[in-house]
Amino acid sequence: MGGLASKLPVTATAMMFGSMSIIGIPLIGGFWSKEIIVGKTWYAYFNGADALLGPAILILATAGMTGFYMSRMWFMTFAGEPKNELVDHVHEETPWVKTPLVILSIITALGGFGLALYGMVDWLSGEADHLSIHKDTFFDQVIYELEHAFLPEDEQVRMIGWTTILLSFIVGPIFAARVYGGSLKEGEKATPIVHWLTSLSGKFGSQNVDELANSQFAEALQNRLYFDDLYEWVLGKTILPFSAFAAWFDANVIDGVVKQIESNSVFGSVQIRRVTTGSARDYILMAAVGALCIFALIWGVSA
Amino acid sequence: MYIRSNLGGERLIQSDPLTFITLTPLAVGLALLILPYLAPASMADFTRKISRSLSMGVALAIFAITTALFLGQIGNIDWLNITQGQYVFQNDSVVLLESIGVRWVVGVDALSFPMVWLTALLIPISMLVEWDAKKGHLFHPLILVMEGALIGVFVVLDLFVFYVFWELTLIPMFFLILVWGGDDRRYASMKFFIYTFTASVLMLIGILVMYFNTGDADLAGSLTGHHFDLVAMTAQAAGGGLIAGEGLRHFVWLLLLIGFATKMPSVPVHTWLPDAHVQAPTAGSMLLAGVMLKMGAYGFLRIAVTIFPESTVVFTPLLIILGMASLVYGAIVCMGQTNLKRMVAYSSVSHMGLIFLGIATMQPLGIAGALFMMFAHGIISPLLFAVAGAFKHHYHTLEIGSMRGIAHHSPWLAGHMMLGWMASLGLPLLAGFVAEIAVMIAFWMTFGWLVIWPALTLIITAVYYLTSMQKMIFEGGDPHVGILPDTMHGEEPRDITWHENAGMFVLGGLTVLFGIMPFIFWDMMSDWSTEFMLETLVQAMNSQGVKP
Repeated sequence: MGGLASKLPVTATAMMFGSMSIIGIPLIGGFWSKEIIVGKTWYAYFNGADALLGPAILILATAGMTGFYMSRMWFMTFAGEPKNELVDHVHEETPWVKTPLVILSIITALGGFGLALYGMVDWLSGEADHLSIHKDTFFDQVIYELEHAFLPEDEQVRMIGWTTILLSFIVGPIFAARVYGGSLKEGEKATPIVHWLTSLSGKFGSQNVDELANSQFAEALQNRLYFDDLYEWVLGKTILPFSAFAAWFDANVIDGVVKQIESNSVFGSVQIRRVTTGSARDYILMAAVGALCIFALIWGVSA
Repeated sequence: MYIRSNLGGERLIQSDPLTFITLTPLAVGLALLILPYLAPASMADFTRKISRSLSMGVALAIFAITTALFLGQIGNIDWLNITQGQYVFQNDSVVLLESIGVRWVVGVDALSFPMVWLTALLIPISMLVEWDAKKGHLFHPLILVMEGALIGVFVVLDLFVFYVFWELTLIPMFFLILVWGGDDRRYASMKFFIYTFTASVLMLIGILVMYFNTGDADLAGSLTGHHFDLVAMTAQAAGGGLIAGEGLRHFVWLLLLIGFATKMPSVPVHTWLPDAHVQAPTAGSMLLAGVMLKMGAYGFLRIAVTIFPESTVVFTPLLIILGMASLVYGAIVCMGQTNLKRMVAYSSVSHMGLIFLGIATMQPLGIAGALFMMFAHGIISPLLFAVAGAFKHHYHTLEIGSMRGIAHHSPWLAGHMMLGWMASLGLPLLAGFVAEIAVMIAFWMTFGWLVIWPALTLIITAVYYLTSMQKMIFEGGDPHVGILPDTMHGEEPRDITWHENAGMFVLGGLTVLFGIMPFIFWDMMSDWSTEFMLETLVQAMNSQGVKP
């Protein structure tokens, strides 16, 4: 793929808003939650929760990485020049795909700020007991929310907030643009909503990362750090052989006991049948032996 | 005299519907089996021609009557308020053998009625699925005989007649396997018959010991002075114990357990089941898994637990061991199977283990869960066996992994397989989930962390169902390329026939219906379990010093 921004305008726009929201670009959907989570984690650390230093650093680093990988995905797909000729045949047709994309894009783009204005942040943090615009005028509410988000009173939180914005909004995307970005092919024109992004992505120069991409580390990452292989190996060495053994055990030991009883009883009845020869001499002999036994028994008892 | 006074079908249905739905299929089925050999040639041909449709007609009529009983069109029963020990549609008992005290007594309650309805439902469906069975003029009447015997087991309240019906179910099933079975059918049918017969003889000894301890003069036979009446036995047991000696009571309980656990079946007396299932025809497997296994659980609750609650409390650890072994071991053995029908058979063993666990919890919720498991498994497992049978019928093999991408060739079959497999592995909103979650919660309430074993088994269940499904109906490496099994020999793959499809649709639909609206039967089951707990088990637990 690559360079699809002009072929799939609606998809590119929707994907742009979605990625922005996940990255936490200020004022768009995901920004409001991410800002608070990062801020509160650091706030807790600064106020004595020492154990939170690790998670706090990780959450900040992750914010930057999100900025990188979401931008990378968008640039690889929609910006730059096409990597094969299949791109020429790509187009959007049915409204069944486009309409939901448009609706969801609008919600993503405006929903976060809208809900914040409506008091969602205060309501969730327990500072307001119902959802409403609780400043005197709408304009006051806008100022209040912006101040709340960008210039909180606590200096440390303000600093962390701006670091997050810097990492996820500036550093991550710029790195992604240097490696994967690029303006569209000559003559291709994207819609104005995304055009600025494709051309901007070509402005940061380019960086070759082939060495890193071919390294063993990259391969390990591609194999999800070999976790799947580990699971497969463990299951293949434990549960699966055990279940095969259990199946064998059931067929040969548990059912084997039943079959043994069966064959023994058949064997026994064959043995007993042998006595029934049909010859009169055998029967007379048996009667004689039996009579002798009875005599011996009576002798023994009476003596 | 009795029959004459009730002559005229409608009056019999109204006054004694249970006798009617038990004896009609037996009589019609036997008549259709025997008539062609007695009648003159021209009439024999005619009988053969209509026997299939007539059997289906009778089966559908029985289903309609049973449904009418449930909905209240006949008898107008409030199923939610049947107290413990009370039976509805109970007839005026008819003396069959005066000298030893055998009577014809029928009645149902919330324990047996769902099973009766299930039987009446599964019989026409299994006939439909095998609508074009060879020797159809014998096949369908035989299933009708089976219906009479199965319903008889669930409705009669006289242990002698109960035992007669119990053994009577073996005969049609024996012939179904022997005549319409697979390559190894002789061995499988003999093993099935002798194995389960041995167990039921032990059960018979238990019943006889109980018989010789009864003493209600009104019901007793003139020669022996004892009777087989279950209701009177239950009353006697509740009012001071049926058998005086505690050791003998435990011994009788164990004899009954052997008989019922073999039928259920529970590990380690389960090995007749896979053989019988693999060789049985589809309809036979459906009835075997759908209803015959439940006879064991039904008999256990109806006789062993009801009459000897103290022994049940004493032997609770044994029930847990048997249930756990069936559940966990059965599931692990499932994973090692390469034959689809064998795998489904072992999964029945695994699911039946939950019934013992549910009873062992000694909680109303657990017992109701066990009852619902009997019912839910009764509609899910026939679907599984219908699917497995369709694979055998259309692809001539049951080997897991011998084919790929069958969903391309048989989309309906693949769809039914997916629904059935999902239902059996306990997907929420399908019938099996309701039973599993009820038993699990009750198990947690009683035994705490031990619940980890049944819960982990659910994962194993998911593994063997999903892998078997993936290895048969989904694609292998290349997209859009299926692999047909070698057994096709160049034959063009087809989808299932309309009658197979219709049967599976009904079962699948009911699985969804009872998953979303379990209360249709759940309410009466849970009321019955609560009553059963309060009336029977709580006293037993108090007397054994177990905290209820």
